[in-house]
Amino acid sequence: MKNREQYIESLKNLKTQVYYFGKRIDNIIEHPSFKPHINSAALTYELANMPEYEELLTATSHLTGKKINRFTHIHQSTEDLVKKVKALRLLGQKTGACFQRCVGWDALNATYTVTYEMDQKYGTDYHKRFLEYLKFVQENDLMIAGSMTDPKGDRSLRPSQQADPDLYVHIVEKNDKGIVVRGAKAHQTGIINSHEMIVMPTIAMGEEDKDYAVVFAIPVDTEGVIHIFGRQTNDSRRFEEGEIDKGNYKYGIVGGEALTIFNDVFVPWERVFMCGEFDYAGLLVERFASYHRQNYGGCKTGVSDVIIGSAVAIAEYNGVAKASHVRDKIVEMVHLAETLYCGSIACSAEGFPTPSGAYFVNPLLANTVKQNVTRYIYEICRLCHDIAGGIIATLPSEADLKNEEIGPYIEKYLKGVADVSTEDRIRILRLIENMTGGTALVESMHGAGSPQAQRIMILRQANLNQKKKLAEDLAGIKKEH
Amino acid sequence: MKIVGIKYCGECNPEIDIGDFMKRLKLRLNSLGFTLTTDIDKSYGLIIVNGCRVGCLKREKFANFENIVVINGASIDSVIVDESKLAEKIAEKLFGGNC
Ligand SMILES: Cc1cc2nc3c(=O)[nH]c(=O)nc-3n(C[C@H](O)[C@H](O)[C@H](O)COP(=O)(O)OP(=O)(O)OC[C@H]3O[C@@H](n4cnc5c(N)ncnc54)[C@H](O)[C@@H]3O)c2cc1C
Repeated sequence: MKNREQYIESLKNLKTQVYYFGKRIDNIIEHPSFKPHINSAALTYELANMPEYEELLTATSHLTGKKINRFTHIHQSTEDLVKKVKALRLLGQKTGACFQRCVGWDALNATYTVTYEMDQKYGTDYHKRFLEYLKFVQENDLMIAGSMTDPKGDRSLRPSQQADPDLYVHIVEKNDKGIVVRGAKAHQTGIINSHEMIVMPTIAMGEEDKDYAVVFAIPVDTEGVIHIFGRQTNDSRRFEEGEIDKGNYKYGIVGGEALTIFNDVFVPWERVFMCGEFDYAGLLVERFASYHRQNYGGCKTGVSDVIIGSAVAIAEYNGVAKASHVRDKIVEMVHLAETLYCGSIACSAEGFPTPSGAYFVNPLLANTVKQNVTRYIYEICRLCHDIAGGIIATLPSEADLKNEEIGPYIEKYLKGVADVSTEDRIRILRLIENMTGGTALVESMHGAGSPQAQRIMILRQANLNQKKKLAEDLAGIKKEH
Repeated sequence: MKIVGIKYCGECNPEIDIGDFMKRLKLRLNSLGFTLTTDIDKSYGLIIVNGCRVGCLKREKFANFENIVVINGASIDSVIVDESKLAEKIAEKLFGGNC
């Protein structure tokens, strides 16, 4: 297993092509825009090496019997699935942000289960190839980006119907050594500080989309791969002096996402895990999406723990902690967060083995959790804004606070209760501003799929006929069932 | 007539229509000269019926049976099966080529 320093050191060996603000960035590790995201991912390595956290953050490889970082583990039981959720909550609490490694973890598990089933049907050897890849990942404790979302162009059209065929990643050439792919993946969490990426289709495919039904793994610095790092709310504050205005200055917000371009990228056969088996694209999406939706009642509950904590703190700093409506709002925030957690624990406890032996979550419950996340996090943040007051939208800068001439005015007039410093009050307010608005909120809506994607899955899994029959039976409606 | 044991999970939230499935299963087993019993100690084999993929009733609980088929919703021994074919496939599993 790598530790924090080894992880950061290992990124230096990569020649990842990253662009940001119109410039090529050669040293991502020291760049202020990327540092918080690297810190956050590094915590998955650091905590795994600490005895306090090893039960959640490490596992025993079912392939080699060795101790591995849990983020590279294939779930072998419902207990593993439950531990996944707990590990994510823990890391959400410690970072208050996204620590990025769950996407690749879900890609590993989804690909593991689906390659097994594909081989059973087609006699292919994708699973065998994948096992070799998995051993390599576990052995080297690699961070994997999970690359599913294509840019998608006109959403009403299939991949093969798009005006520009590259709007979904597709195979442009096959030869005896491998395949060549072209296209792009959008919103790639943590990709610029990952080692590898697993590329998967983003929707179910028909025969006409055969060339788009492709799964493969490559290093993020493969020739022809370009990453264009996305902007975030208030990102230019990272270029400023000081730490207060950055809010969560150590770990940032969400995962640091990029648009990743594949300019005719070569992938050797041993790294190809689906190549034209269009009838398995839908299953892969369903597996990945359900594993990924499971996570959100873990990590977002952890992040909510921090938001709730900041609401408790600011209520105290403002002198309203004992007000009954404030206490009630905090109870509501806790209730919402724990409801999310319940869903993630439930979909894990109700998990079951796939034919490969790897465990899968209950997809109905996993989709239900994520659907709730698209609402409850907004409500948690709304309540936090309510408690914090309008000052989160109008606070002067850290530079003004530190200014000799006007700083004393800020000290004097932005003080809350007498025994808390103005700076501490401002720090909490900036943390709230950072964690509860803009980019941070959107992740809860669209990360792991937009609400409608969950509703489609919920409808598919809901067994409405059985529910109708229950009602008809109770109503005394006699039918030949 | 020979007997095959059956054990139900409790059916809290089934993904399959258990009533319909049982009707088909009984018909299929009867056609092979078998009948179902919940008195599983005396039975030839055992069919474990879990209404959904969660599969609360585990095979390991019935380790003394040699011939067990586990249904978890529309799947037999973890392989997804068309719901209308479940009974047929169970018979194949239990009696191999003899049916
Ligand atoms: C912070 C963040 C991190 C992310 N990380 C990753 C990652 O690491 N890896 C990854 O692969 N993806 C990642 N995603 C992508 C995420 O999965 C997508 O944002 C999500 O699937 C929605 O896709 P979209 O953004 O293209 O929105 P769109 O698909 O454009 O959706 C916008 C709206 O249009 C609707 N819509 C879309 N298509 C149709 C249609 N055909 N018919 C009717 N309505 C439609 C949707 O339901 C939605 O309401 C991330 C997203 C965010 C915000």
